[in-house]
Amino acid sequence: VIREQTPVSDVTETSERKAAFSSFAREVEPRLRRALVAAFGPEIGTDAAAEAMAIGWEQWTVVSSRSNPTGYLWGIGRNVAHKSFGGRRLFPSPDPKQEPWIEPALPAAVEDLTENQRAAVLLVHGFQWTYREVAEMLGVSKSTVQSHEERGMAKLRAALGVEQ
Amino acid sequence: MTELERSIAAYATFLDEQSLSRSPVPTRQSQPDSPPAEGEPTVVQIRTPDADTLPVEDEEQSRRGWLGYAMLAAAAVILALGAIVLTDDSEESAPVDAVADSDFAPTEADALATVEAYYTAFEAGDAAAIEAAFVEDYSGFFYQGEGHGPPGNLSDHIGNRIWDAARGTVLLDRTCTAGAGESTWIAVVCEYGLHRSVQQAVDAPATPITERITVTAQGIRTLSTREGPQEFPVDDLFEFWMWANHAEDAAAVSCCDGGGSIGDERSDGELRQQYAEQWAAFLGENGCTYETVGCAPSAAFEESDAFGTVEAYYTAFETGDADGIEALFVEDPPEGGFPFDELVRTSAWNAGQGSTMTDRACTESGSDPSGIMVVCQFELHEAVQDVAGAPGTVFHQTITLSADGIQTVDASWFEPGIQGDRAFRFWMLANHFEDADATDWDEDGSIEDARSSGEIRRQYAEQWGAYLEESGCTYDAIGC
Repeated sequence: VIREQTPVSDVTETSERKAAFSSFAREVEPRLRRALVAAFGPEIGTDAAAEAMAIGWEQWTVVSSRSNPTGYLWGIGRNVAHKSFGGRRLFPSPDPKQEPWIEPALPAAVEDLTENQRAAVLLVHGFQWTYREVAEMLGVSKSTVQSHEERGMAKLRAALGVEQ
Repeated sequence: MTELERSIAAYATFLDEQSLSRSPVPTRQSQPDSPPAEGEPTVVQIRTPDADTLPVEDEEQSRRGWLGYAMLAAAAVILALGAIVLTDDSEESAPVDAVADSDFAPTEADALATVEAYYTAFEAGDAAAIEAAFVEDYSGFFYQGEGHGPPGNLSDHIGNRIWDAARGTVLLDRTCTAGAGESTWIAVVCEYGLHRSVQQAVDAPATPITERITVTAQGIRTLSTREGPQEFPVDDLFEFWMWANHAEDAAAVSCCDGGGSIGDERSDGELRQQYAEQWAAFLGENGCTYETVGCAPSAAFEESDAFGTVEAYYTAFETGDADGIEALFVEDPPEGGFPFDELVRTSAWNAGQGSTMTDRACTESGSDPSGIMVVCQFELHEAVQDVAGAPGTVFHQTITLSADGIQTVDASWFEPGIQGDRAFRFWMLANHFEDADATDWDEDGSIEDARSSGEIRRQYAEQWGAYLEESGCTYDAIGC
């Protein structure tokens, strides 16, 4: 490994770039990961978030110039997740003895929702995000999020046989 | 809060914990002696030694699909594009007390050292060391490059790298840039020239590669590869030469059929290296160059014959004339191209649905004394596109010919694929579920079955076209 001297101006520029990205990553990465986990499950969602952040670093100039860089990375993570499905199960079922408060049929019912419905339902009811926060992440309107959430909840109620 | 909402909240917490558990717990024993000093250059270059001292790498053989096999090609393209994988961990992944300890995050030096160890192992063909560069629970997939088939797992990736190393691939001018600190991972982007044995043999330029790697304290968490354009199709020419002169080993020198042992991949790579050297000698003796020009076919082979044969092939293909197609091929076609039996069934299927080709133009893409490679571009218009007024699909098809006839036919098609196909399929499933699969040819069926499937497809396509017109819908389903 040979470390080559870099011109001072380049060092400054790179340091600033890195500082800006690091600050962005600290704030955005946990939210992005949760959103992708909500849409694709913990395995694929976590990986997709990591890849999206790596791409974010690689293309920071482009990402930082977007009006909604978080939504932009969501789109990247979403594409990555689609490419890496590989037939893997999306939503694991917890051990009922260890997680008795989770309805056993819920994971399968969640898996049957559409991607956007899953994201809306889990982010709103699972992670307590507001419609506005979900809308910003997904790059859609609040009313669209509300529509996904309501339809998703209706499907869950039907699948689980509950009225409320 | 309702029972359902409580259950969802609990499940979300469970998913979050599952997600966090994918991040390695920071139990690293050895910490770097010291973090990079303030003001130290943040872009660190890793340079490879001279090419001569380096091991191997990949080239790939492109599995070009062939043409009208819309559905098959669609699947292939999806699989080929499909890929990349990744993983990583977030800063939340560590226990609370560890998160506060930034020493648990890898430093840039750590990350670059890990990446360097990976490339060193790759170049040396050291399977154990490659595996050791990754996190222990690596479960992602690797994008193996367009045309390489579906994403592979770590085992496939290692086999691929071993194959590359064994055939003398060299990584030229490698530079890696690390960044994005203050987390439990660091992103590293590496760029280098992949100089495959075949490229070396004829002194052709290397293929540009960009790899994006995320590194945690426990090793590489994700790695994805982007391959730039190969300026000259030396791999195609080499494989053409292989099929024409050493057909018995042509399949064996290709990479990674999956399921093979590391030893198999290594011996396949070594075999390819040996043939690459023979090929280079062959080109040298015949005054050929990698630029694919100035290397004429043998006297027994007239170029005009090649184009005449190609034209006859397309005429037979368009009419679904299986015997006519067969007559144009060499007696025992090598396995390299689109399988012959699938080719004739595809032809019959297209003929059955009245597909047409337009704007066909063919050019020579390379030749050597074994024969000639011709690349043809054309638009294919299937029934679905025809009735819906959708644009045709552009295909680039490579046909290799020797003096005895056509050896192989391959093809790649252009995005976005068969326009209207998805909407038609959806309509079929919704309205004619019982016949939805009857519109595609069956792999186990006969040529006549394929033609019949094409005819059924045409009939339903016309019904679908009428439906679109009545309902004011369009083939891309917008506004419908």
